Amino acid sequence: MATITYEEFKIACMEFLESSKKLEDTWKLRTDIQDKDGLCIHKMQCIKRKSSVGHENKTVCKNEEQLKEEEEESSDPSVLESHHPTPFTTYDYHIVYSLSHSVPVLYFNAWHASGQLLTLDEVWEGVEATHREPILNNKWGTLTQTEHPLLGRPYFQLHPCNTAKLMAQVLPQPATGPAGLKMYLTSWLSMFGPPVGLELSLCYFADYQSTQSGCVR
Amino acid sequence: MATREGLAAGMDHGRGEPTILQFVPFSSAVDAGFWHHFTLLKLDVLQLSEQAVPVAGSYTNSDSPGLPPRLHVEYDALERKRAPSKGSCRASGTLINTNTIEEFRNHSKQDLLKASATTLWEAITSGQALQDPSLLASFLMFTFADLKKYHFYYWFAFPAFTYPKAVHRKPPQTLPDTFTQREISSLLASYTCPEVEFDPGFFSVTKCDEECTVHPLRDYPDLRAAAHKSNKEVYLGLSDPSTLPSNPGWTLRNLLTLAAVKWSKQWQNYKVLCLRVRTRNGVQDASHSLVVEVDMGEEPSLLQPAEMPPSLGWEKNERGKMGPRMVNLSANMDPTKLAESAVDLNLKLMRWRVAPQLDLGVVQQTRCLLLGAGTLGCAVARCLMGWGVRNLTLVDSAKVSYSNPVRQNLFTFNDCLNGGRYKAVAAAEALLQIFPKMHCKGVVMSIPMPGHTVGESLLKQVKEDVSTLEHLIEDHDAIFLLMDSRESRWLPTVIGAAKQKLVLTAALGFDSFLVMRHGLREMDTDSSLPSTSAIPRNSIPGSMLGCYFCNDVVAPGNVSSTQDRTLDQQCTVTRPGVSYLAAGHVTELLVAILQHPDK
Repeated sequence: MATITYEEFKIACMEFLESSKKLEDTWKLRTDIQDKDGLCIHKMQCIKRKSSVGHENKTVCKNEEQLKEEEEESSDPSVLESHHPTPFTTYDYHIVYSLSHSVPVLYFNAWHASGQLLTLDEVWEGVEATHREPILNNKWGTLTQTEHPLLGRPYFQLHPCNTAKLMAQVLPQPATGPAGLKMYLTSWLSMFGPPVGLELSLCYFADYQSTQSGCVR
Repeated sequence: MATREGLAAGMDHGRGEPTILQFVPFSSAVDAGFWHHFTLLKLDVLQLSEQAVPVAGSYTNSDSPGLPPRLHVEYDALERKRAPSKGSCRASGTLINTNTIEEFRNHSKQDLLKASATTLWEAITSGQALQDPSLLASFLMFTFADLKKYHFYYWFAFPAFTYPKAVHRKPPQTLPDTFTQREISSLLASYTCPEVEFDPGFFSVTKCDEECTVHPLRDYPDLRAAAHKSNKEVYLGLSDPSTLPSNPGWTLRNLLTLAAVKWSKQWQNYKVLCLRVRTRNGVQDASHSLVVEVDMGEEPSLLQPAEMPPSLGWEKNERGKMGPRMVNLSANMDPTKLAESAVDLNLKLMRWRVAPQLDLGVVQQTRCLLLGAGTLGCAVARCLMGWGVRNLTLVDSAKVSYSNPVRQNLFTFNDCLNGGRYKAVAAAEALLQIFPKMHCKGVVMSIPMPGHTVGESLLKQVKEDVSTLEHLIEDHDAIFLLMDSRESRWLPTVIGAAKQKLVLTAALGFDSFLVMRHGLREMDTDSSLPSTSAIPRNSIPGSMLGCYFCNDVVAPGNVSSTQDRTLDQQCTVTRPGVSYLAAGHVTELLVAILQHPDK
């Protein structure tokens, strides 16, 4: 069983953020909830929606009819008109610590342009087909919706009950020192992220020595 | 017409066909968390105020192709303290909230836009926008929050002016077409690690001897004036949210308006660098950036309007129409709905791991009738609720007495006061308090019992009660007999059997209990009864199960009849834990039966 303590988790996160900065990735510390005795780092990314199904707000159109739609603004030749706005989805990934399992946990949410959250089914639709089976087979724990431990709002979670076992197979030696802990976190994230659309650059694994931008291959 | 002549004049210079430059409008992107913060602001701070509040927006020039340029309103947009993160540009927003849907609907959208555009126009003409270029990316958010339903109506406007008419005479080029690799590297280095602080949204760029430098926007006129002395090239620069190959993003419009207002006396042509930077694996890539040569395309005399030019900028909704948008967040914010989905999810967890075949739907849809709302009734109701049963009716004629609440877990001390509330009613209310999504009711009624003589005066009432009970049994799927006497179980046993309902009994002794399901005999033919020899040794088919009365021999001996008993025997005297055991068993028995293919 490869578990880490909360102190080690903090070190791992700080190291990870440092790498993210160097690689111009967008991981950030959620400073607003940090003081509530739980460290949380997060990253947002926006993707074009793959399919047109799961059209948001299906049920509210009736309500909306009471809001009149205005006359077209006199069309301006300098506007690039698009008749159907491209739908997109924003993903918000959070890494927090699970006290009961002593491992990092990945929470995430996804929403449409309006802030309407995706349902579990819609989230599944977004999962790459190649990753569906491992989740279904329970190898990486289960995708569930639960309350975010620090925000208290519904978030999706990849359940941490098998994390320690899995990490023990990946890292035979216990993670020690800032570099080892960063490796723990990145290894973990590289397994738990991709099924839910979070790809991790291989550069996080590269020994990063020069300040030059560019991945050492 | 003046424009057309201007264009024609332009053609005379032989510099190619003038084409109107088209800008990609912003798409609004609101974070789910923003609405949570907005709700708190409305409740705690704004209340009924319709005053404009600042809201911090952001956009980025690092998108992958195919994504529309987005103006992002993040979770902390209303109380932004942190500096904008690297690679994202600030946009100054104003939020105006209305208190009613009528106000939201009827408020003149022209006036709103005009007010917003006026502020922007002043920022441009006064030169304030040169000092704080994020004002050029200003936006308006017009809202109405229906906090009872958690519906949010909103409409974004990204104000811009129909001035100047910007044209370009050759198609926009990509950065590698006009800059050498070395120049691009130098540009990116200066953009990423600037020597002089500049606003990442809007800036000036100089190119000289293969070196590029990014300067603040306000330095543009000085740089350009000095440029012809050296062989410097000077560009208007912006972080371009668009990803399209020939159209810059919306923010360039206001930058060109600023240039026209401020500098068109000297210059009518501008080289514009629409910088787009994607980082992959730590490597910056700006090759999809655009370089556009913009011609203001008008006679100089027409420039410098004294009055504010016409403005535009309301965002189209998701159907491509000019109209507001609405988002229903009740599923994420309404506590009742949150409770409902959490309860469902908790049950579903059983399927995911332990019992994938478990049919929760059939449990949830089962309408349960609980005859008796005492120790057993309360405990069974709670167990059923735990299983996701939503439709539940409790029947009892008694009132809550002082001894009840400690054993009957839906009642409290207050239910006993003033003679006590009816158990059926109090229990149904308590269930709703525990879980508002329950559909439950309490029926105050005593169940007619055999052997209890009915006087003339009560005859009508008893007949009514029989009929009510018959209807109740008719309207439910599972009937629980949870009374404290044998006699009262008789009538519902008979009606339940006649109506082919699933009837379950739980009865308590002092330290024993009985939980059973009543047999269900095929009604149509006698031949459905298997012959004795056909009965397998180890299992009895459901049609051969008896009822509580047939199985009397194993019923707890101490279950009371109300006649010829002393006080301790009239009340159900039982070890307190036994009622929970019995309630648990009878509930699990129901669920197990419901899972069986033959039920």
